[in-house]
Amino acid sequence: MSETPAEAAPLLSVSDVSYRYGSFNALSHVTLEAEPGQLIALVGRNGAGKSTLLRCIAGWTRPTDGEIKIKGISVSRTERKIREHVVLLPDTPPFYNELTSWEHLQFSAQVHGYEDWEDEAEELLSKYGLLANKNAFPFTFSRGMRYKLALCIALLVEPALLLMDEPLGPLDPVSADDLWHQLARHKADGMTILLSSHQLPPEATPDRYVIMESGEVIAQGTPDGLRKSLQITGEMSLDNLLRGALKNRREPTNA
Amino acid sequence: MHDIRTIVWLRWKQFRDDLVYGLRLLGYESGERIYALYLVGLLAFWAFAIISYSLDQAIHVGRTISFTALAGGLEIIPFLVLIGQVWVWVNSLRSSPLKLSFSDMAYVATSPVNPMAITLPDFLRQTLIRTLLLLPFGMIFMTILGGKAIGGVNPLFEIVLFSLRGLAVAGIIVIVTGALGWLMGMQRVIYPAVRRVPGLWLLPILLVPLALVWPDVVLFPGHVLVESAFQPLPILLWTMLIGVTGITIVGMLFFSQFINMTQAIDESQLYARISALGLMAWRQFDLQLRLRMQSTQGGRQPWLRLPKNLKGGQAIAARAALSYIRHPVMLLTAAAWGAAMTFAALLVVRANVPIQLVAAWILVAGLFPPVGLLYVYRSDVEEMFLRQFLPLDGFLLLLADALLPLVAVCAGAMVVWAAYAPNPDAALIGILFIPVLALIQALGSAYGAARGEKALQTRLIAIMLSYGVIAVGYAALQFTGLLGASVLVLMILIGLVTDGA
Repeated sequence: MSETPAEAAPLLSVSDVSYRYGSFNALSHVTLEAEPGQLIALVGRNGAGKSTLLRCIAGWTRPTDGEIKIKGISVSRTERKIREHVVLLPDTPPFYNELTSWEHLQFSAQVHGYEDWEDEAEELLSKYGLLANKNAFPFTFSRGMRYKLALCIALLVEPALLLMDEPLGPLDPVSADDLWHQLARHKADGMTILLSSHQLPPEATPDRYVIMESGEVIAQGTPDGLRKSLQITGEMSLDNLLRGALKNRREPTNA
Repeated sequence: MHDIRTIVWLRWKQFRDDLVYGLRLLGYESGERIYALYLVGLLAFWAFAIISYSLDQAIHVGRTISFTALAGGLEIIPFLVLIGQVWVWVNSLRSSPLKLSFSDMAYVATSPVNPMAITLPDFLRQTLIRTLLLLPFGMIFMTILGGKAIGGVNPLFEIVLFSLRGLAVAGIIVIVTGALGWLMGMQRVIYPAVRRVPGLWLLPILLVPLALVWPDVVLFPGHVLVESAFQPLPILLWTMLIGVTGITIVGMLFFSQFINMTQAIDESQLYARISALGLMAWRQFDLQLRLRMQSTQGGRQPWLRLPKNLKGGQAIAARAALSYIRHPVMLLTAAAWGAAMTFAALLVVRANVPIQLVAAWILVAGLFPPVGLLYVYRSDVEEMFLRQFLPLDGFLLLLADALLPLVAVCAGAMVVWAAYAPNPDAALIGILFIPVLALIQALGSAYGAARGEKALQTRLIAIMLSYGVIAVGYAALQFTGLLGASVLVLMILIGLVTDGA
């Protein structure tokens, strides 16, 4: 298969991707694209296939069919060069038992060959409220603190594409709001963020929504575009969005 | 008495639930009594077949093994018994043997049940498990002895009778050792001040040097065990053994009444977390190891730092080294494993033992690699979140992660080989090939870990095939065959590990 030149290709291109566990279709012909500096929210009920899609994009799971390209180059398990551009944060990130928070950041920076990383690491820890715990072991942290530390590690290596699985679930409302504002800043710096979520802070609006159900993308587009196509009249909440998409799927004439 | 009945009933229900859970893994569904009977029958048949085969092989080994090798084995038995006892007592002094699960903490510890009622069933359960675990090894060893002493055309029945006496003594030793362990360990939850005495758990280790000064006293249980294998013990000795067992158990039960349940809950936190994992704690032993390490490390300040100014693979190797240095016990066990396996290999080489024992050595190497050899590597490859930050292929990652424990295994092995090798040539060949064998051990285990599914089977096949090919190479072409087979095996394993992780 020919590769698209990196300059002309979208940052992320998911083409007709399917994934089957035995006879169960976890993903079915999923297609989506993301450009640099976009923040995309994957929305769907439990078991809709959001996490599986994120794992396929990160190269953690190989799709049964279809192709995923990052910067125009196909992702496969052995292409570590491509995977350096992508980081996936699972909903419960694991850590090394023997390393402190600070040592996790130091290790990531050193492995990637960075120099003068200390100031940035300290700034990240401070931004996410972990500076006081920099010499503590992450296994003593709460779930929310663990997620924030994982995010700091991910941001330190500055991935072009940041994938986040349920980032707001472990966080309290204030932290979730703070996180959203931080993500908006990273997006403004050119980072592409694809996150799956059941909930978003009240004022949060991503650039695009991708709505999934039973492994399929049943609707995607900008908030305004979806409001029109799904005929959402009330508040543009995830709840209304999902209900609208499901209704539209059952009664396609509404679209 | 009513309290004991209640706790025994509770433990029985828990045992039954655990059993059903285990059977469900084999396809059993609740209410399928016929299928349960079929499974139990199948397992019983399998166990009978395995035991019969093992005993048959043991008789054969007993007939063919030399007196020199047998005498060597008998000499170390009293020391093995002592090491087992010290291990039990050290563990008891480090953490009380009375352990409560989360549900025990919620419902039993807060109830007015007499602590003795909790202690007795748990002590009996622990003793039963230990006895069942030791029984197969004891049976096989006693059958080997019996095969030597009795011989004959079909002496299985006589040999089993012969071994029963030794097994009875072994059972008494297990009970007394366990009861003494409980007696000592319970003091931690009766008198909290005992928990604050630093290094108290080291006391039983003093028995090891004392065994060299007063072997008749310290090694008495082991000597009785060996003696019981060859001749009936005097009635007076039996009376004494049974009397000591009774006194120890009564003493343990007496003290158990004074257990402070708040202290017992505090001591049981780690056990409860492991217990909550269920069978997973044993199917994925690393998980249990990690919890244990978290518990020892949680309250400590980190010591040593990751070195600055390192990059890439060097940083990964330094991180792995720091992880091992912060848990030096893993390096010590790796070195001890290397030494023990080499000592066993030397016995095999020197005594010209039957092929079954050579196969058993290889089987043990495949089944029980040194704990900690792949501790860091496994966290890297099993957790994709961590793996995504490590831009190295599987083999280089293994080298960086497992370098230090590999050095420890080789060091332990080389010291023993250099000290006991039959001649200088053998010593040189051994020292040259020990790193190759250790690397095969690591590569085989790494391939199993990277595949994820059926890790144990993959590891076992990879290691046994590799050692088998090397043994065939050596048998066919001596040193050239050894070299050629080693290179071939290493190349295949490196290829598998490079792509596998």
